[in-house]
Amino acid sequence: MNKPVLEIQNLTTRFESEQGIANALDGVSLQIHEGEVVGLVGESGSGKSMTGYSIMRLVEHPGSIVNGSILYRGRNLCSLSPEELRKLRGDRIAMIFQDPMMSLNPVLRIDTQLSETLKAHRSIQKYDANRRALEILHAMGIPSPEIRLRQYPHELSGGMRQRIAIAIALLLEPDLIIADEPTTALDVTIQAQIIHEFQTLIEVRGTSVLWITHDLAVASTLADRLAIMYSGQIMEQGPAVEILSKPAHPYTQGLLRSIPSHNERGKPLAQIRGSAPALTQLPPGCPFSPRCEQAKSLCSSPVPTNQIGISRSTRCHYPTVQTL
Amino acid sequence: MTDWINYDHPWRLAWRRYRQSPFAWIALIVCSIIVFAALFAPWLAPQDPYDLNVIDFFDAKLPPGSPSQSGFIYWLGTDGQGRDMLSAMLYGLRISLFVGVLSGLVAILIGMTLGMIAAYFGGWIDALIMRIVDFMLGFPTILVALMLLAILGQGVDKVIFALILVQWAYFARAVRSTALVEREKEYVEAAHSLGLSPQRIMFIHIMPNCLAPVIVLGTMQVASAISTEATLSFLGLGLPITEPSLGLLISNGYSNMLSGRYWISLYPGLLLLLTVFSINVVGDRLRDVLNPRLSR
Repeated sequence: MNKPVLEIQNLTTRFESEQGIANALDGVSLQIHEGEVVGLVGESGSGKSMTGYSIMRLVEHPGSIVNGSILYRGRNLCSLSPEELRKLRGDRIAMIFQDPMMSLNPVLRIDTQLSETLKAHRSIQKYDANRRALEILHAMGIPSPEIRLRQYPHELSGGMRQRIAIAIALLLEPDLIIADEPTTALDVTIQAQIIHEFQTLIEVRGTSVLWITHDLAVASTLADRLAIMYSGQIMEQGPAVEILSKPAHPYTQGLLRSIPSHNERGKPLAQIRGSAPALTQLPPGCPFSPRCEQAKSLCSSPVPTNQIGISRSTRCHYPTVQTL
Repeated sequence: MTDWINYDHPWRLAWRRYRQSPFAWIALIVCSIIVFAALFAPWLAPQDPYDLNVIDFFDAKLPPGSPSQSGFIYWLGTDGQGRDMLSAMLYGLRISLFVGVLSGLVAILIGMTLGMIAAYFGGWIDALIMRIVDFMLGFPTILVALMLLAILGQGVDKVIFALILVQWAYFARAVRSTALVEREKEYVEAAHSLGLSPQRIMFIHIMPNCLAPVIVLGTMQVASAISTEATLSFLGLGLPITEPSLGLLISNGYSNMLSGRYWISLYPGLLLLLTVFSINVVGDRLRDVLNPRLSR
């Protein structure tokens, strides 16, 4: 396979507070290859967004990256100066946020917000910036882009706003896009439209994507590979098809069983019993062990990442490939 | 969701809400007239109060409504030098507004920049700027201004300087508190993720979102600057006699009050009152309209 665009190794992001130390990310290792879409799936609080923020180096006090490295085309993002980081952000690595009402500036016109990003990275004439903005809005399937450019975010619908936010992220044709639940706040029909448009755009450009979501269904339609997160650790990763059909980790198995469409009519919906532990009070060993039905004595000792197959790994002492 | 309710631009919405109060609407009209009168004083005033050729000393201290030697009527009387009070007031208003607005604007510029820097960078920069602000706000405005003018001497530039110095801290504090809230919002994070420079994020992305409280405070501060200047001039430490503001006019007539020549002080006083009052009413209304917590 070709060289990875992004290679995360043993990344640990820590938050220190009066309640104690919480590792929002605990030894996360992940690779994203050229043109690949990696789905990062997990419950809220599992650290999936924190992975995105850590890659963008947007983790703010009291949090900090305490261990590990993030290699973007061989450059360690953790050791770059603020100015070097600034030049990468938005140009080579872009991020799309969950709520487009929050991520667009309420008092700036759409064209200003687009040209701000262009001007931050290129010396570009006003005319060219405007043409480029029109181009990208058109590519995102936005009707009458000339009018949209002169509007403010609140004059647009939620779906339109998210299209604009995606357009801003795609503006400079980055190598890597971190999409943090970009369709979660939208209607299902609009969600499908936007995912489709996004998919076409990244395929043409060969952009790599880290698609962060809690929705396995969305992840499975988009992603080439999946990584399942729980309590700041990646429990299992590998090709999407394999993980969805033959999950190895008990947590992944539980997640897949609890998708409503897998349920038989009339029977109660399958659940994973209990709830995710607080990050400050993690059990020793596997963080999932208190909720795991297959937990044995070894589960309270540190779990290594086991390779199971060519590009699959799982963080479980007793991986059992289950066919669903 | 609630999209259909506020499809209008926030500023336009605020303007429509502003007009719902007739009292504030009248105050705004009064303000506009006052500004218009000040701007066009040379064309509106019946007499040039600075031109010694047209001032007739024999017209001194005439009561309102008296005819002049040269034929026109002194509607508001004349002062001790025989100047038409109405003309002197229009010119005085011009100086008062100029001093108030200019010092206000410069103070806003300085205060906003420092407040924004304090909020954005935090840490020791924030601590340093805010301690200076606390220090400035610890003294009564008039005391600081008096001390400064006692050292610097008289002059329009010196009064403006003193007024800037006593005002900027208010703006710094207001902007800092708003910017602290704004910088935690996701659009700022998004701006960071797009690789925008800190300066652009501060002044192009966060600043416009902090304008509402600055506009409200700015209106109030202009009114307060005008009255502070009037106080300083009245005390004889403000503007020089060659550039009489409203405060100086009041001061000039003060000695004539007891002898029954009330008009020399009263009319400039009333104009000053009307100016400050109407600006404050506008400011009050702006606060109601622009404060998101009060809007329904």
